[in-house]
Amino acid sequence: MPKTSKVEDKTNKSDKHPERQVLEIRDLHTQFSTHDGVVKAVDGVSFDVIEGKTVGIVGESGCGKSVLARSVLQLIEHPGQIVGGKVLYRDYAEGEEAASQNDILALPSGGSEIRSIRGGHISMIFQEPMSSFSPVHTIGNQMVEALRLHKPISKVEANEQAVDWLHRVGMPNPSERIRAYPHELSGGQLQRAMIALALSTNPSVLIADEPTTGLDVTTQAQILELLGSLQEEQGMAMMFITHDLGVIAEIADDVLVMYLGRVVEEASVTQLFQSPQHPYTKALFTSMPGTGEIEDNRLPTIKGSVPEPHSRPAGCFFHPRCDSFMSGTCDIAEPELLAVNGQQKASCFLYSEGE
Amino acid sequence: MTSESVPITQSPDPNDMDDDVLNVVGLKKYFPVTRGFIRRHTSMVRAVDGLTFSIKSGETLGIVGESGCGKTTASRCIVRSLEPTEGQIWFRTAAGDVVDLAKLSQSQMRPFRRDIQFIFQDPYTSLNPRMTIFEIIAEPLVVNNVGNRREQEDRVSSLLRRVGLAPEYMKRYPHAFSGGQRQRIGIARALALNPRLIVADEPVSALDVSVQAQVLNLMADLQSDLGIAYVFVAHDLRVVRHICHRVVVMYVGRVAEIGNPDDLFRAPKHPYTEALISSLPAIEPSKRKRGTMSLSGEVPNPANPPSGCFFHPRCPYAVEKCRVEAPEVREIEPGRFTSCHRTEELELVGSDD
Ligand SMILES: Nc1ncnc2c1ncn2[C@@H]1O[C@H](COP(=O)(O)OP(=O)(O)OP(=O)(O)O)[C@@H](O)[C@H]1O
Ligand SMILES: Nc1ncnc2c1ncn2[C@@H]1O[C@H](COP(=O)(O)OP(=O)(O)O)[C@@H](O)[C@H]1O
Ligand code: SF4
Ligand code: SF4
Ligand SMILES: [Mg+2]
Ligand SMILES: [Mg+2]
Repeated sequence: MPKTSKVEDKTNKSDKHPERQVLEIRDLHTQFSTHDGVVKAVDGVSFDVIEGKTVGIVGESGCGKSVLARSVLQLIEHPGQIVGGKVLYRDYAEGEEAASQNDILALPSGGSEIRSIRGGHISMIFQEPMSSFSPVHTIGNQMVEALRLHKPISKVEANEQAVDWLHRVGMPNPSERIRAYPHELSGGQLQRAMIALALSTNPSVLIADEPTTGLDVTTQAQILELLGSLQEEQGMAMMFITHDLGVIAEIADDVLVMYLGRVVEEASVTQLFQSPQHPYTKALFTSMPGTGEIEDNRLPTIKGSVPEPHSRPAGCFFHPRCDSFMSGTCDIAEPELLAVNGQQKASCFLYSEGE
Repeated sequence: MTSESVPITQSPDPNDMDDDVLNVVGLKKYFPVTRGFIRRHTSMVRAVDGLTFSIKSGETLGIVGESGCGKTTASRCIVRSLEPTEGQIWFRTAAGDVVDLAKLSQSQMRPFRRDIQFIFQDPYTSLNPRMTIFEIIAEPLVVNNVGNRREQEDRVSSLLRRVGLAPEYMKRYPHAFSGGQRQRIGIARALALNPRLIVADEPVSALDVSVQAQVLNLMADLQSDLGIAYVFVAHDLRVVRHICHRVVVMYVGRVAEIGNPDDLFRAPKHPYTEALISSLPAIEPSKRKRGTMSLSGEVPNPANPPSGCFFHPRCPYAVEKCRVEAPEVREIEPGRFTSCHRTEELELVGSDD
């Protein structure tokens, strides 16, 4: 299919402000000590999350997407540990320029500050909605409790707001459904309830970890539509994790491609789809059903599989699977993430000869 | 209920099966449900409610539809891990005999079990964690008394090689393998007895795209080398389009549409197929679909389906007739079936991607 040049850019959102960073993630390192060795699940990741925009994070299973998302909220448990980096959060609600910048990772864990950020300023939704809800309380009770934790309002007010939120996320019969227990809802309804719970505190950032993976395409389309329109209304920023490039095409403004704990490519969604630069990104595109050339009834694949995380290859981590592998360069030095095409960055020696 | 399921033009006469390996006619599976605390009232979940389709040997038939449409129930009836409530499942054996599997008792079914194998959706829970890979793959051989231990080991090595795994893996346990590798192990096991038909319930839905492509290629290779027919259940229409020769679109236990995948994709003849296609995520950002979403609502509960056409509460084209009269499955072109009152008047939109 020809890539048209008269692409009408549907991805630009009307900018009311110049771009304002809500989160600046800098050189984040998170690792797990396992009996096989140390797993550097997130290994020096930096990026910005911009108000009103969506940064998509894509990569194969095990490349560190979820650990990255959880690290941002200090949600890493033993045997994991955040061993380096900063997550700078800026709260513009406190007033324009005066907005103070806080390093979330420097906040005492379990303290009141981190708890008011989690689920208040920064909310998270997951693939498995049951991980957001307790099975023994009604959806409504849990929403009311979350609302009152973050806002000084009465039970009655909280209840009204909860019904209102269920209504906004398209829950059928919200004033009745609010009394339902999680198991009484269908997968799609539960996902909506989780989104209502996450957004009811008006967060400035929503972290979504594969919220539509495993859902029907129809439900997925409904949820993406809902998140897109809520983002337009609320102006929140989104960090959207998925392994599906189609979902990225639907929802992201900017994209990070991850491989074995590192960002290998960073680009605007339009750049990424028009001219992917990193061989791994290109390979991901061709193995997406419905895009690559099909010969002999065979889909293009990436050769081999993702290596064991505790024994990453020397040099470029992708070199054993790469079709552009250059012996003597790629297996010796580690490529850096550098600008290759305007704002677009890739970490590959095809664009920066190794020394 | 006006909806008697419709015998499609295919005759259930076994002599008419041509080169079909499987011919399913009017398959129904109802589950009894007991509801209410005070009045214990029994009703029926019509999980599969009159399915008719056929598969030629060496071909792949796709079954698609949203979750809860009856895909798993239908595939489990075919392998007889569920007892069909009604209908016929004509199967052609290697010797050329045609038998109705639906009529067989579990013990009469035994000789045919070798010919028809099942692959599960979830590679993480479908393999017994306490069995070695050898025990898992050899189990069908052991159960059917095929070969001695040495012969079984040889067979397992060659099966492992066949699915792209090293024979040394035989001694390991499932936890040591990734999702894609486990699905290969499941396939090796299904191949152990040289089946003629493999029923695969969403075999790649839980896998990454790159791994998914590897498993799909393996299945395609096995088909061209061994002539195995597949029933391939999926919810990803793009995957189905790539690997299937024919596709059945199911809605609440019934056929919405049957056709070859390219025709279905480019020019759907049933509003439900159109809706499934329009819900697929874009393949590039300039083709974003946000704001054009057409399908709202959810799959109805098959214990209490809507009147008339089951799709009418969600169908943008529904008219009064749809609310009162259940549409029959009709063959509108050779090999193309649809169950919509309005197929001829509607100009449904497909996709080129
Ligand atoms: N609790 C843990 N103990 C040990 N290793 C872990 C733990 N949690 C994650 N890891 C490792 O960290 C790496 C990144 O895992 P992560 O869950 O972030 O991947 P992901 O990109 O989200 O994958 P998926 O697409 O499967 O969700 C993997 O190698 C994983 O095995
Ligand atoms: N054992 C059972 N008892 C009662 N209802 C069932 C049973 N198995 C499946 N169903 C119902 O039958 C319908 C079809 O289910 P299923 O075949 O699993 O659909 P799919 O595989 O298309 O998602 C669903 O409404 C499901 O809840
Ligand atoms: S650095 Fe070398 S091995 Fe790595 S992606 Fe680039 S070309 Fe391939
Ligand atoms: S019969 Fe009516 S309700 Fe059913 S799919 Fe056709 S137009 Fe829609
Ligand atoms: Mg994850
Ligand atoms: Mg199923």
